Parts: sequence; C-alpha cells; structure tokens
Amino acid sequence: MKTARDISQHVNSGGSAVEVVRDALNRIQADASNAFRETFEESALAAAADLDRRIAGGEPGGPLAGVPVAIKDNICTTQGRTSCGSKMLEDYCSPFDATVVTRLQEAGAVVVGKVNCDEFAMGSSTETCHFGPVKNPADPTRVPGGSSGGSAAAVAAGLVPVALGSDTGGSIRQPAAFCGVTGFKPSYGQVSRWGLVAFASSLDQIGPFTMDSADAALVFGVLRGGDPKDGTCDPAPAKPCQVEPADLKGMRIGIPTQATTDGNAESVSNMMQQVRKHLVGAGAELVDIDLSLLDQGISTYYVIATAEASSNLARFDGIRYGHRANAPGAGPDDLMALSRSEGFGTEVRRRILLGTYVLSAGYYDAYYNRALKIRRMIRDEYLKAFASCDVLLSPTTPSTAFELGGITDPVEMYLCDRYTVGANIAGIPGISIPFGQDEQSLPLGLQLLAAPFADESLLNTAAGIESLRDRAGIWGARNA
Amino acid sequence: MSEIDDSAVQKVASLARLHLEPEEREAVRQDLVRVLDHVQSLASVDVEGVEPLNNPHELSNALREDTTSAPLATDDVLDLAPATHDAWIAVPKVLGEGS
Repeated sequence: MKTARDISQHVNSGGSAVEVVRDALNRIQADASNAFRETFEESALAAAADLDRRIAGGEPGGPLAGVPVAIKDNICTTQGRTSCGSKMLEDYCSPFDATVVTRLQEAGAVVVGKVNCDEFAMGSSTETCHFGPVKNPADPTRVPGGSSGGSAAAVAAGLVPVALGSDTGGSIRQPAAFCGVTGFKPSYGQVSRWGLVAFASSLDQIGPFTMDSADAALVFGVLRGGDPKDGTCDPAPAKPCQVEPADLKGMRIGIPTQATTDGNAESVSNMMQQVRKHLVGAGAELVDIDLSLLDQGISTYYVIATAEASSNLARFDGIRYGHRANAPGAGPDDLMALSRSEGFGTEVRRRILLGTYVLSAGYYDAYYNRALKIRRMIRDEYLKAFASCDVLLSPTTPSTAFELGGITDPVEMYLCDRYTVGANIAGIPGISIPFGQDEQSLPLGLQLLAAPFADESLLNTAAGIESLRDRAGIWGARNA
Repeated sequence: MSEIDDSAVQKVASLARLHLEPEEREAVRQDLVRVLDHVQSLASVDVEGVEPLNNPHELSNALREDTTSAPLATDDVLDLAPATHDAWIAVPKVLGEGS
C-alpha cells in the first residue's frame, strides 16, 4: 500500500482517485479482520470522481487528494451510522459531520467507511464491540488492542493508509503498537473534538493511524487548528505540518526508570535494550528520568475517566435517540433504566457504576477529588521531566498483542494502559511507532512523549528514530 | 478491602439509572470491589496542599459572540427518536393521576 503522501502526489498530478478508492474498497471487501463496521461505496466513489473532475479542471486537489480514510465508529459522520460499537446507537445516523471529518474531506481525503471500536471507546482489545471483536492482522487469533482496534487493523492490513481514532487513555497508541502501525495522540486542545462522542472530556483526543510519522504529520496538519465549536481547542488557525526527521545526535532522550523495571514481557525489555544501543550509537544522550507516580497513573486515570463517563453517558436515556426498551406500562424512570441496561454492554455499565460511585456523596473526596490532586502531581512530574530531556521514551505496552479472550479480569485489562494513560492525564502529545517484532512475529511498539504543544518536534523525533530503525534493518510497518 | 454490599450496589445503580437483575448484582459487586481495591493505592499518596487539576492545561472559559445560526431540521431530529407523536417525541406518562 502506498503512503498518503504518495497517493496525494499521484492524484494531484493526474492519477485517478476513483481507481485508488475502488482498490481500497476491494481490499476492504476481501478483509476478514472485522475492522470495518460499514463502507460508503457509493458516496466514496462519487467524491473521488468529483475530485478527479476538479483536478482535471485545474483546481488543487488538496494535501490528502484521493487518500482513502476510515473513521472510528465514535466520530460522527452524516454518511452511514455512528454506533460507538454499541447496541445503544446501533441504528444512530448523525445529522452532522465531526469537524475532523469535514477537514479531511476539504483536504481531498475520501471517507470510505466506519471502523469498529470498543463500546463507547471503553476497552483495550476491541472485544467489547457490540458488532464482534476485531482480529489482529498480524495474527488473527489475537486482539488488535483497543479501543481504536478497527482503525489500527485497517491500516495494518493495508486496507487504507489513514484511519482516525480517539485516545482517552491509550486508545490510539496501544492498538497501533499491537498491530504494528504508527498511532499519534496530539496534545490536548490541538484537534477539535466536535462530533466525537464524549467518553471522558478532559482526556479525549482525536488522532491519526498511519504507516509512518511523515503521514501522521501530514494528517495532523489537516486536522489541527481552532474550532469555535470546541471551547477546549486552541484557537490558533490551521497550518500544515511537514515532518523533518530530527538529528538524534546530542538530543536528550529521557527514559523513565519505572519503564525498564519488572512487569514488561521479555521481548519488550529486549526492545528497550536495542533502542538504547541504537540511540547511543546515533549520538543521543540518554537521561534517566524518575517518574515516581507512573504506577499511580492507572488508578488516577480510572477514577477520573469513569467519573466523566458516568456524566457524559447520562445523555443516553432512550428518550430522544438511541435504544429504547420495549416496556409498555413502564414509567419514565424505569424506561430509562431498562433502556440503558439493554443498550449498554458489561464494560460500559461497569464504568458508569464505578464513576457514579466515586462521585457519590461520601466518596467524592476519597476518590474523585484525590485523583484530581494526584493528576496535578503527575502532570507536574512530566513538566519537570521535560526540563531535562527533549522527549520521553518507553515501551507503548508492557507486552505484545494477547489472545482473543485472553484477559477477562478488568484490572488486568486496565494495566495494558500502564505507559499510555500519563499522556492523557497530563494533556501531552504521544506517538507509538513500530520497532521490531517478538519471537512470534508480533509487532513491538515504542512510545515517545513530549511537552505540551511540542507536537511537531515529537513527530520530527519519531521520524528520526524511524530512519534509525530502518537503517538498522529493524522491522517497521513501512517494510510490510 | 472496599466495603460494598448489595444495598450499595442497588443505590449506585439507581443513581446511574441502570436496571440490574437480582442475579447480576453479585457479579457487579465483585467487579466494583476488585477495581476499587486497585485504586486504593491513591490513598497512599500525600496530597497535602495540592489543588485538584480538572483540565490538563487549566483552560479558562472560551467566550464567543452570541449569534444565531441554523438549527438542525426538526424532521432530522425527530427521525432519531425511538417514538414520536406528530411533531413531538413520545414518552411514558410523567405525571400521575391527580397530580
């Protein structure tokens, strides 16, 4: 599969967008990973034909001309359904497009369909999806990670070069690592969330899955920029983002001491040793960073995220839209409770209950307010770290992709996010890039984090490490 | 161990407007205890003098001009409702007899 920038160049110089899009639709049709919830064949081909006509007429095609993209099922599109992987919204058709979808289309991209995710983006394996689990293209007996598992699998399987996902605690970076593609979560406030179905509003961020950092930068340049419809979005105007691979010589790369100790699979520890060796060889300066609160991240995250979710998901009441229980004679309260219990799956109900509990009278201070205080301490620990290093490097996940059905304990599942939740708690940018494979040929992911709004330098550093990886002959998605 | 009994599960379910069958409640209780036991680790952190952080960048309110714009079309919105009556969303009777 070609990169997005190759496709855009091809289409902008007269190549057929219709052909590119038809090829993508054919690949999707033959796919067995369950990545796609639905495709928009007719509208995608019409958009591609329109683009071809405009380019033939001398108009510019845009920076993503003819690039087929897939959209996570929790991002609103007027085409098809926006179901959030849930029975609650199984037939929900959004009356508006998310800002990110409009921006992609204005840049010439062609939305070819929606991709599956964990229900309301709650999960680390895409197994909580009401429309069936997604399989990892690297090994169909394993999970693709989650919650944006369909987005990661769609790029990893070579169906589309770009997919959008959302990342509340690692939901872009963790599946990118499990599937062997690049997943980028921008700084909180860099990309509008208008039209993203809210899970935890102080943590959610939209970002791209791509084959490499240069494509991630290209898409990020299209997505970012102020949006009056999202008050948390930095009002700075949109501007393109072009990656320039960083010279690693003299760069200060921080490695949290807590990320190299126990708890990692052997293959993940080996990857970290390899990375260190290659970075030192390239002249980078490795700095030990003490993130003493790293292991409080999961607890802090699950208190804040579930509290916000319990509030955000209160809107699904079976009254105005979404699933309504068939309960003749039930009063309004019973109808709401029955509709919500039928519409939500086990994990979503669990998180709503937990969030309601930590916000309830008598527990608010012990759980929610305490978590918010620790959130400040964690954020400050990251800010302090970036005073002594340019980027922080760790594994994205403590292990490679696990087997479908392999984790049933909720806490064990939550611990998959050990290295990723910190970026959401602190609002900083993070990226996962493929860096080798384990002994079973499962992809390994390397995570890089940077200071708030240092998104461009993060992408440049990631591109620099990709070059190093490729020169060393280490496996990365671009080789696939 | 977190102390959550069956009545606490029923109370939190009622606050969250979730209906739990009697046979589901014990499994839900065990799940909540399991997760809350894990997050007990937060109690070991000294938070003396630390202010809560609601939002990573401590954003203040974003204000905009109060202007009119086109609303969603009524029919588009009503199409989404599970039950309608003329131009209204139909719901069960809210007020009881004589109220």
